Amino acid sequence: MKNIKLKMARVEYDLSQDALARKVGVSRQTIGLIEVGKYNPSLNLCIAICKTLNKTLDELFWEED
Amino acid sequence: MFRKKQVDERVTNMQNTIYKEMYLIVMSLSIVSIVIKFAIYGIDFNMVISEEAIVFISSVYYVLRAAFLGLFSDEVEMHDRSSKLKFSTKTIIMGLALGVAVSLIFATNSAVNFAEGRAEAVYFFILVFFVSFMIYVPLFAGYLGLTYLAAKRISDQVVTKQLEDREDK
Repeated sequence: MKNIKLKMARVEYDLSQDALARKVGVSRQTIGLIEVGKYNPSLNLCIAICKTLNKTLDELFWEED
Repeated sequence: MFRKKQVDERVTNMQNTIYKEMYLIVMSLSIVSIVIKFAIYGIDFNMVISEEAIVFISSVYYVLRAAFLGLFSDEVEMHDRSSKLKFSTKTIIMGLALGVAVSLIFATNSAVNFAEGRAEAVYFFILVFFVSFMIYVPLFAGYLGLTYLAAKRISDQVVTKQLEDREDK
């Protein structure tokens, strides 16, 4: 499932996928795949992304029905 | 009728860690076996066909799978991020180093086994090294460079396709 919330939070912080990837220590492709819903990140990676974008896990990764 | 097999992700991750270690052990043992056989029986490639097959086929399989999964691009990106030398540069340097190593082996072999006297040994060494250098350095550097370019291109195409954010999917 696509993660539009992550994409919006990243854009809000004015970060490219590459910039966010460098901050959390993964490749640009990994961020891209998370955003299009083709990769499930580990909890540690989710937390790292949340801390970087100053959001909670719910705000970025909770699925809304 | 058939229960869906439950898979624990932690167990799977730990199993994959063990498989990775097993792969490294098998590769190391194969290389050690090659070195020992060369030391005991001399450099005879027919003696180490099994070990060569294990090392070669495993390596080719990894490169192909990494390229066709789009993983190779990620590996290059993560490497270039934390290394002073780019992956592509290191590949060319590796090819050059291999070529020089092979040239040195052939030159030493010629000097030791075929020369009579010190002057002739030096002459054979320099001549064979120079000729081997001209042949094998471009060969290895070119082969590794082309392999890198091909794998990178395939991997980049796969990544582009994976990141396509299609509405109909």
